[in-house]
Amino acid sequence: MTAAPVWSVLPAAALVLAYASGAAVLDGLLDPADRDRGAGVRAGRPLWETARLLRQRRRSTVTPDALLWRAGAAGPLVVALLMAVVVPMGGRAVADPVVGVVWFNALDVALWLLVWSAGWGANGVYALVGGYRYLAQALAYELPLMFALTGPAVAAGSLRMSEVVAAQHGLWFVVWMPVAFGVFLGAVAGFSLWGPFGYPAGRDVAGGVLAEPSGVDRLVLLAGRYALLAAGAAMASALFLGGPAGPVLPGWLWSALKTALVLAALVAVRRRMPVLRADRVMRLAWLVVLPLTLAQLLVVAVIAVVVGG
Amino acid sequence: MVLSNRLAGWAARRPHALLVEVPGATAVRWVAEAELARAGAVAADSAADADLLVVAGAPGAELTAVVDEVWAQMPGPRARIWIAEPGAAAGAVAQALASLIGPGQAADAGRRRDAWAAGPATPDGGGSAEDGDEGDGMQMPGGLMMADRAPDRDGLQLDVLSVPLGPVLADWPAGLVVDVQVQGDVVQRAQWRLLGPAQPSGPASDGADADPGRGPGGRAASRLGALARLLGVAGWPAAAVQARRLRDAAWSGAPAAPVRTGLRRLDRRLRRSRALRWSTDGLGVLTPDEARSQGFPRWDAAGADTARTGHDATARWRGWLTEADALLAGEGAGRGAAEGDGAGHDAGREDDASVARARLDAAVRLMAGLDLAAARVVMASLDPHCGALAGAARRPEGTTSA
Repeated sequence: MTAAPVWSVLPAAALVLAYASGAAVLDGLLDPADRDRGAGVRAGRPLWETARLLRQRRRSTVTPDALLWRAGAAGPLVVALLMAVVVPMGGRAVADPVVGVVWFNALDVALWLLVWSAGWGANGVYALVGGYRYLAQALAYELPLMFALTGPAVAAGSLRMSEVVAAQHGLWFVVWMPVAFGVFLGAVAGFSLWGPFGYPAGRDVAGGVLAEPSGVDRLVLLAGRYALLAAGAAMASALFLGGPAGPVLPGWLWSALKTALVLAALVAVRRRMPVLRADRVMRLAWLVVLPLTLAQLLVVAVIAVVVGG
Repeated sequence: MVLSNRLAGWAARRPHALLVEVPGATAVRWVAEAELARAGAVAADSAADADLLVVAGAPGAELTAVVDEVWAQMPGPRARIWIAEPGAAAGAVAQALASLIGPGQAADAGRRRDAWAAGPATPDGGGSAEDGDEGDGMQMPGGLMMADRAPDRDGLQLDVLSVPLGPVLADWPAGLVVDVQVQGDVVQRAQWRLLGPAQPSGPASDGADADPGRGPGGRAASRLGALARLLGVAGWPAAAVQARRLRDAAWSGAPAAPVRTGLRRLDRRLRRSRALRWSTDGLGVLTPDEARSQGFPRWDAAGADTARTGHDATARWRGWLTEADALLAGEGAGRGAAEGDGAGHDAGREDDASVARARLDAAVRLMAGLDLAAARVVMASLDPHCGALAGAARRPEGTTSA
């Protein structure tokens, strides 16, 4: 894989936004609340919502921390676009640094600050609670996520995304790292405030980090949420599902299909279960998921040493 | 102009509505919710998220003041409607939707003097999503009170914030305000009060259609409505929609057989969900005596393992499922689950009021020491019928501390 020219940033960003819109369309189609309405009306949901938010006035609160608030609202979208920079689609990525996997991980940690800022900056109780909930939830998924990311890196003997993809030649990592794959998907839902991990944006606290922003701020924040899901799904397909590997079809199509499938699964899971509260998730994360991920990593490391040595 | 008209047309396909229910106007809320859903509207979580402010019932002075404050917090374009009785819902919703994209919006935006735009000298609170204002007393930045400090449960000195929960809050009992003191998001003390309707609704003023609790269909609907709210609080909108549909079907007097089929499907889904049990298990545990005096069904109706876990939130939502099915099957009167054991929730107004008071007292007592999420599950699982209290004399009570 060769480094792409600088202008490839634009198509990469467009791709992220296209996948994000696709996820929003699918979410509209799957929503049982609109069951009786036509498929066109349901599929058009991102359009109606975007129009609505573009028309809506930008609101403020009494003495907000405006800088942190606006930065926090824009944060998820920016992070998703930055994540996408290192994700190879069809064997090409915008950039292929030696620390590609770490880059992804560092950005997901940057979300801690950004989403917390979105909650803190609004100067409202529910928003603040939402921001702190994000941190509490991150404590549950972050360590398992780091070890899940370590698995493919150890197996490939590299943190460079192109080498991680190339190392799956013949056998996708998902086959012998199913636990890491599952943990990674859960963490993607976690940092995207999605479905069962929607705790920081819970209806019980009037929308949490979403309680105060309106208009274009809200639009950017909601779009960022879908974009994070999309970036996470693309990363999952590159890390665990062999990236462009597959028979008959061209590589870029395989990458696109795998990303779409993972994204669809992430979107669909939202209807399947209630929000998992951080206080309950924490025990599961630290007592069950973390040891399982470590055991997975041990297996991967032993195999890598035996096969590689 | 063409573009902005197009945008307005698209935006109007999915307006977000914030509902304010006045105590005693449950039926109005149900009709309004169904009418809004038919118009393609979705429930807003907060004032910032809302285009429509829908007031169900006739609010008293205090509640009207809160409604005005929420109205001032809405970003706009915005529309506000007051629906006094179920029959008026359809027309009011249609009118509000039209005014959302009408020419009046520009004028409204021009007239507005928002608290947040006036700078830090405003004496009024209201910067946060909740609706009381704590503005009197010291002058503080933006007129907001600073947090006090007090030792928390771990012996640390932490900020204490006094926050009113409600009365305008998604899936929250009508007109209820719970003044909580929180450290972090852990409730330390809680106290409830009620913001009532314009005139106390005596037995004369509320006909059969204003109180959905009468008749087996209405009683089943009231269980399903409570269930829908609990599922909303638990963050499971897909299941909440299912429950709300069944509620509307049961209340409208649809044939019981298809409703029961739908109910069985929901029942299976909820009872199978380990995640839902996780979220409600062990919260808001009542003793058998308390449960009986608060009108909850006998333990055997709520499922076999109640004896092990106590009468917690899980037992109560399971009980609602069982009861609703029994009521729809026409066994309500004979089962004791719905009416026996002095289950005053539906029986008579006096009983209703005391049951509601007992539930509210229990709720604020049980909320202390829980985080906001758990506290809200406790409140939703107790489902206090605030309409029954609206006529009775109002007095603050139920203080408790961790």
